[in-house]
Amino acid sequence: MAKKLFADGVSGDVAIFDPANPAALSNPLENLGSVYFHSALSYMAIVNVATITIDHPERARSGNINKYGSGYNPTYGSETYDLAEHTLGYIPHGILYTGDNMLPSATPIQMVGRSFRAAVLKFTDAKVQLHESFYTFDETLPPVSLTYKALVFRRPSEDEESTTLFISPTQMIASRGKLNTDHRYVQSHDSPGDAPDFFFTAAKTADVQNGAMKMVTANGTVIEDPDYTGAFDGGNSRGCKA
Amino acid sequence: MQGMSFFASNDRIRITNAAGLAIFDTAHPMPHILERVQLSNVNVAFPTLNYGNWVYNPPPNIAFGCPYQDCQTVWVYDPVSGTYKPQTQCTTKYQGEYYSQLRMVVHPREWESTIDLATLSSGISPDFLLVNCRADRTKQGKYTYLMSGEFHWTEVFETGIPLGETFMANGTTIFEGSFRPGGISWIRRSMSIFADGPTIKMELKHSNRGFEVHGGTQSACGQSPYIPIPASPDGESIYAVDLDIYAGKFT
Repeated sequence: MAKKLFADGVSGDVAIFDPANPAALSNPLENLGSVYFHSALSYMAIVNVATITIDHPERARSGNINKYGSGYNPTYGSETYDLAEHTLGYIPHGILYTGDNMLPSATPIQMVGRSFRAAVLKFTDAKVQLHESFYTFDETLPPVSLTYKALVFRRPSEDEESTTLFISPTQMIASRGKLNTDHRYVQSHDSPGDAPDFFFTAAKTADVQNGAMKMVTANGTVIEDPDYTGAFDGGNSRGCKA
Repeated sequence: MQGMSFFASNDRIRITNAAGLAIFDTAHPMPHILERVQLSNVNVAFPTLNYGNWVYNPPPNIAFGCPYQDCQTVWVYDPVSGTYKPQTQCTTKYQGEYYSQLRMVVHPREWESTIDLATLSSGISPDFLLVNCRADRTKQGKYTYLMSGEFHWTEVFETGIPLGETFMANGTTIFEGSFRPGGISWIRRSMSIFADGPTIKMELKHSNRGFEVHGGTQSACGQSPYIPIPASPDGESIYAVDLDIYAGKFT
């Protein structure tokens, strides 16, 4: 399929589209299947890909027998770790994953018996952080080192430049900065044979039933309480690379 | 220094940056953002527990002795008058404080509620959502696990989310859980943000297994063994959440 690069210095419009469907230039939202890039659309640039290994400490079980006399008292606690800093000046969006497994919030990251610890990605206007919460019952959680990747997104680009199309030996800017080779963007890698880095979804990623939960992360990884009795199988997702 | 490259053929345009990384490639189009949805103070309320009634099992019995006078009137023959006259005769007996064993069932409950948060103005169904959430808890749920006298031993429902801070809430977030001895999960509560066509929805789910709460009461001599029992905490948890959602689409 042919591709056409179009740049209008008067309107500032830039588009890469299938010339067999010229309506993709004038009405991209109605012709998304023929659009590869269009200045009328908003794209999210990636500010930072932080890869960091966190040494989670031991979480000891309680030393006291619980009130029922059939095990140890539960313990509960939480701790915050810094993953990265940013200079955006606002609270960004992002995703957290280990390997290619994108983690919804409160995903268990270590389980020993019924004891577990879970992770949540959180943000401030200057930091990207990991919030660990842990629950211990009859087993102590031994220390564990886990490597995380956090992708931090810039808000969909406003006009950053006055240039319709600028190409130099080291940089290309199109559509007033919507496409800038100094930034990185999410790219679809969803074809057979692709090896996505992470997944995007608009679906539910977990279910609760019978007092228990089942989590199916976007890449199909299943984390399930033994007592879950529902039939949740996860939702559709699309593979991506940064 | 390696430069930016712009590659164009009849069927592909590919742009790399100075580091050689592909920034744009028509073979791998960039997803784009359709719309941003920002909502403040959305009510996230998880429901009450479904308690049964306390039942006495076994029936109240006397456990501790305390004395009382058991008196009765008897007719005694008076040889002087030759008639029978009433006379009160008392004996000391022992009646106890009542100690009663109680049981109450917490019924299993499956509950869910789905509301529409927003419908995208373009009318297009998004392929993905990027959700940030900030949650403040206005009521922390708790429940009775043991009862003695008028006192309820309670536990609270802990949450694994960072309250009062902004966290990623793509897909489903497990908000609360509580566990029986040994860590058996008996209650879970979740919030899902998902797309149904062009409408962004929030689904809240509550699921709890049933169990039996044990208790006991004591009442003093002379009082009814069936003393009033204070109500258990209702188990309801309420959060006020702010949501910042980007709805995106692949081309």
